[in-house]
Amino acid sequence: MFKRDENGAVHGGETVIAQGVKVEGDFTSSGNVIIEGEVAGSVKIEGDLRVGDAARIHADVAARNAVVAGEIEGNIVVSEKLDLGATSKVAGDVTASVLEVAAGASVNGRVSMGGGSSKRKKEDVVEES
Amino acid sequence: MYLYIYDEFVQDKKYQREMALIENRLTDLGIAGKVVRMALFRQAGEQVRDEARRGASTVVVVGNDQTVCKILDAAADVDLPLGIIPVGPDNRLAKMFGIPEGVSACDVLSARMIERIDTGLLNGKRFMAGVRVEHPEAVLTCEGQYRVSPDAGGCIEICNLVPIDSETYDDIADPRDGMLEARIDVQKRHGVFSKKVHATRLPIRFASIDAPVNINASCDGQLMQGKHFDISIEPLKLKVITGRERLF
Repeated sequence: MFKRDENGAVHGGETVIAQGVKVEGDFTSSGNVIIEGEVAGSVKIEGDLRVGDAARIHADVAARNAVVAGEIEGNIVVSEKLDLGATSKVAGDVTASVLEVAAGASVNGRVSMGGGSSKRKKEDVVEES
Repeated sequence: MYLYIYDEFVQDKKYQREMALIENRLTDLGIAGKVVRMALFRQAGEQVRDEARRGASTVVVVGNDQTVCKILDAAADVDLPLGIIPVGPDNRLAKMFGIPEGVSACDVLSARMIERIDTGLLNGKRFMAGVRVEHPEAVLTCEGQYRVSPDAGGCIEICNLVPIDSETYDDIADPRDGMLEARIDVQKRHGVFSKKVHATRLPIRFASIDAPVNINASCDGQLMQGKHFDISIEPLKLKVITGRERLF
């Protein structure tokens, strides 16, 4: 989803909200986005989203695919796959076609799945919640 | 017809030999043309517009980044290809466009590899490379939708290429994509000795920078002062002659 070199720098023209930066308002993007800082408002992304472990998001989030390692306070709608890492904390409702939850992840809200095609439904995997 | 704009400083004795070599090489390549020398009280931009009306086909700046900035507006308005023969210090724009210094630049000019690039506007002033603001209270508003603020004061750069007073030009934005790139670098301490730069990157078409007090914004190396700056892009506004070694 995202390309990083040996030093952790991001390449390929992605949008990055780094640590130490606060974004307030309606954030939209047509490409892939990495969030490692703080966001308040709403987040709408047509591409893929990666939320770093230091990130804090107080917003409803919509994306195609998402990998979450930080905190999200708000509803998440992902049209394809949502991957909640071991350090992720979600306070809000989660909607995704495919959901993967690592041990240690915390989700406080309703989880809805099955919005995708019938082929995708068979692939749905919930490891732990 | 090629129009050559000589900056005042290249008429200095110390550049006499280099200028003679350049002029000979241009003649050898068959691209010698009209020479206009910049001087106090002489508007270089107006001269470019006059010569364009008289049939100039290419504008070539002989000088450095500041010389390019002086005629940028006129070159973009008349829609003629802009070439650079870098002479003297401070030639980062030429480096980004892959143009070697001195007499070798004549061969790049002769090859006429022309690229159309975007230009930016900062409060109506046109820029080619970028804008740089370093103030702890500066806030960036992107496309009228969201505000971005560094929590411990960082450096805000708006890049078409990369600001010419930036510390590095390894990471150059693509000036042909119809977008500017907002960059905010925040240094954070990790442990006792190490500091890590966290770089925010946002593609934008327009934005504004606000501060509660007057701040300096460096626009292609020229300082502007104010509390509010509007930034926008003019897609593919300028034709430039580039070399094979260009950095974008």
